[in-house]
Amino acid sequence: MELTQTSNTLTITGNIKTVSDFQNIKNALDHMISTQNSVTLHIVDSISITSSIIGYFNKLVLKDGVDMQINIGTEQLLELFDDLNLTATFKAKKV
Amino acid sequence: MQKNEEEIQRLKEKEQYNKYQEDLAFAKELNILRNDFYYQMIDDGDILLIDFLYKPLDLLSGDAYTARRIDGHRNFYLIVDGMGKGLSASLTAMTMTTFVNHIIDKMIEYDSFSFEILINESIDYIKPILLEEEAVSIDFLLFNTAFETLSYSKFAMPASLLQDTDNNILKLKSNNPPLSKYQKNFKVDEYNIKNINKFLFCSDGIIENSIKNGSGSYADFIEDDFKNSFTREDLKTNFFNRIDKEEDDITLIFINRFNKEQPSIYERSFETSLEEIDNATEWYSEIFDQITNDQKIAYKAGLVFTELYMNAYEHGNLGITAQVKHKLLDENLYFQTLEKIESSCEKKIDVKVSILTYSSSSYVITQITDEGDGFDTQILSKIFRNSAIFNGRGVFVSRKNSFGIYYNSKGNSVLYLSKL
Repeated sequence: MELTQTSNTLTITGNIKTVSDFQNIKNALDHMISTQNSVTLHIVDSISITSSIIGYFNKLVLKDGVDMQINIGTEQLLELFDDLNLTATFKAKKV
Repeated sequence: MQKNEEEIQRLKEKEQYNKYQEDLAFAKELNILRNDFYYQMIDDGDILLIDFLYKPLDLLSGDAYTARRIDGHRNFYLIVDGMGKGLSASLTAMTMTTFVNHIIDKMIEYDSFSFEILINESIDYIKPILLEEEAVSIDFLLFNTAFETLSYSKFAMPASLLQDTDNNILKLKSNNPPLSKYQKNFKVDEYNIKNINKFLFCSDGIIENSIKNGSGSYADFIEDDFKNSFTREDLKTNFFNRIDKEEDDITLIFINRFNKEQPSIYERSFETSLEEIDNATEWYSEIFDQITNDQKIAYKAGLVFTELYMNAYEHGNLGITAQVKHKLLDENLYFQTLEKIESSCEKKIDVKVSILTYSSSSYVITQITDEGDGFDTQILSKIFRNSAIFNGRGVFVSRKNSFGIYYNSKGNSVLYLSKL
């Protein structure tokens, strides 16, 4: 997995799988939201995501009030978000 | 214009009310269907993977089932198929199932289980409720793992399929006519299952479903598909690939037994630490690099491993509940708390990986065992029925990316399948 970021956009390339992936995403986003309240994530080609990251995103949006939009590159990941009833919460859409 | 708006509002409210009632009815239906083996395996000598498929066609299903653990060596299964479709069939199926579960609860409470008395009481109970021309199809099934027998009383249900150790498919036909108001006697037979590895019990919804191009029914394919299926997922995939659409309620119970003593190709024990999680993940990833070139399969297996291994680590060995975890995440104390707790934890996490070839397909069997207190897998039924709730998403993700996940009865060991 690789991360690239601009001021309020985090792009995740590759498959999201490990605890280290979660920690890296968390560190990047924690840093980003320390200065702004609106972020965009591009999950380019991962076909799934770990529950830890879902839980973390959930907390950012529902508890911390972060305005998050997630652009998803794969149908499988979008389907998972649909299954978990998270599409609206994360403003998830296929790109 | 105002009249139209009022009408639209009225229709919206009616739709909301109907949706609310439908949700309640379905929740009630699922409460009636008791399943003591939800996402469980029986790990007692051999490993039995027990899978269920319950897909009502409409909101109120004319099918019902129950799966109960009677004691350490007896398991009971019931499948009921009410005549026709709609409310009448559903009422019969649900009423019967509720009564059977109640009787079983009482029999277990008083340590007085009797298969024959259960059937007799159930028939006596349902007969007055049946309409004059109503008939019900039922499977009463009792496995006794100590004596390796299957006792059965089948009332006009499709033949159950059994596969023996020589891969022959045997059919267990009904030994009773459809249950009606006028039933007087019933028959119970017993079958020696010592050499039986696989079982399929189902209602007729799956058998009678038309296949694509209108050229017959699934009855023409079920034996071959059953023979070639290692798990319910295989059978379900084959079935839905052959049909255009579901035509009736579908209920099936799929049980697969395989030898626990199958040698593990890879086996390792890990300390309970965050550092070891990375080591375990890397070790597992290297195993899949050796097994397959398919990156998607390897990724999915790795993802499931991460989820279930983390569960073994944080919920199993460290004993952190979901509520505590969420609190720690909220307060940004999660990782430092894990490091603090793990420093005094000497429990291990065992991982075993083996490969099994079945009917020209290969399956990787991964088993992760922790030394924690385990959990009641019944809570998974709430997760899988409502994927929007907060806890258990890891198990949901795991199920979605594997070919089946199964916990032991204690809940401290999980086995999952990846198909190569």
